Amino acid sequence: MSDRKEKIWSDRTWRFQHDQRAVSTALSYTITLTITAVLISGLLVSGTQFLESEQKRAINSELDVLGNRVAADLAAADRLVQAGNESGNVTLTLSEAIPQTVAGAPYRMNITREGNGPYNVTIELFTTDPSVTVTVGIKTTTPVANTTIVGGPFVIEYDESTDELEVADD
Amino acid sequence: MADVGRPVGTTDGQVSDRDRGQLILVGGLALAVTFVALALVLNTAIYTENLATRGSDLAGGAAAIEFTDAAVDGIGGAIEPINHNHNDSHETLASNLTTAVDDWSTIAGQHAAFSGRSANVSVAAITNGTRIEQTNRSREFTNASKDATDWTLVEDVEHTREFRMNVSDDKLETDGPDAFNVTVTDGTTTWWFNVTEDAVFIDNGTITECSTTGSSAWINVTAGQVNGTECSAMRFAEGISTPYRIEFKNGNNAEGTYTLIVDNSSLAPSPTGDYETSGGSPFAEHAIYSTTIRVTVVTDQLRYASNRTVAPGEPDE
Repeated sequence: MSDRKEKIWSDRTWRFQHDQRAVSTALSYTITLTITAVLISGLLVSGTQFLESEQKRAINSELDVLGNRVAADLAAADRLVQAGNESGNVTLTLSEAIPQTVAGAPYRMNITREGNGPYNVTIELFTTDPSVTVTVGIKTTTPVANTTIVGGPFVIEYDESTDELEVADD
Repeated sequence: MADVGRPVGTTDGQVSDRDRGQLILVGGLALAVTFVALALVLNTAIYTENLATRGSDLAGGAAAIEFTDAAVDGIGGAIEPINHNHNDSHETLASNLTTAVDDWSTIAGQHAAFSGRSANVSVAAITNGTRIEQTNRSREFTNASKDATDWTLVEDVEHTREFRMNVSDDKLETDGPDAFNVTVTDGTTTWWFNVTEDAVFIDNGTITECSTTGSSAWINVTAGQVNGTECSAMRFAEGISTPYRIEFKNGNNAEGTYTLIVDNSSLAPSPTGDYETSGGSPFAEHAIYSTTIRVTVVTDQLRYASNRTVAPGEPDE
């Protein structure tokens, strides 16, 4: 009888010594899933944030380029008006096709001027979602009418009665 | 890590090999979609970056200004031969000028068409005038009948251009009140200059001297040049209000040629007694004083039209 007892005891001891399971299967399963879920969701969140920041940078640089394009066209229109202004009777229509969206987001432009004599014209381009604003400044001799237009192809016209350059949507 | 798979041989059925790692699979798929969206966003910036590399004058504004300036120069060059060769009457001059401008516009328009521009020049207005000239080099600066040394060239003038004279040293005084004098007056204020053997004296408030060397003096009055060098005090009719008249004084003390074009259009049809009517010097002929042209340039992005005044040799403001 003591032989059988010894055998049971050594069997248990052996199994205890060689048991590699720390906890139950269900708990280890849960822990693994939780860790994996946290890691994966962390990766996804940071990936989405990276995408958003890259989109903002792309929008910023695109708005900068488009703003400078608008400024260059305003300067060209200003030169054309000034060249013909001595004898008067200038008619001018300058159109430019620029993209309607930047990195998938539509944008708008605020054009304001201040000063007397050489005017300081500020072109402010902004998107609302994500919200990015870029400002480009230029000096002109002909006054530019204050206006807000939707981004996209635009037209610069010279109004002789008010001696103003007007930027409008095309 | 704990073993989430079932050992081979058990019949648990809860987790199979095919279901392993679903979370990682879905997460990886979502991340891949994010990267594709990133690529799309960055791709949209390619066109704009290309725009940034182009020049700032895509609309062709500089070319339009160049064409307009070329038109002013070209038509200005056409006015002088017309004034010399077709000056029977103001109507003849006008019709010749219109024809010349139309011809110029056709040819220049064809050239512009090569560059993708449509360009046109037309005459908007013509200002008639009179060309007063003495071409006989050995004649004094007196009137036609030689009985007046002080005489009025022309009255009721608003603008003068191309006023040039070539005076030889022979009859010039060395200085003093008898020197040959050109006076411009509006009735109250006077502007004048004297020509003596060594210098030209201009009165623009103070008396300024521009020296002349050599046996003759080339004076370009409207351009402000004496013998090819700039004489900054020579600003024609400075401070004189319009209309004014131009007079010569002591015309017997100068010898040579002169020419000027004024915008008084009534002198040529009925010249005063001081002018020769049939050849000889000095004479007053019909002339075009200036013309206003309308230049139009059209490209795919630009439509530009402006008026320009063509009056070659007019003094700068």
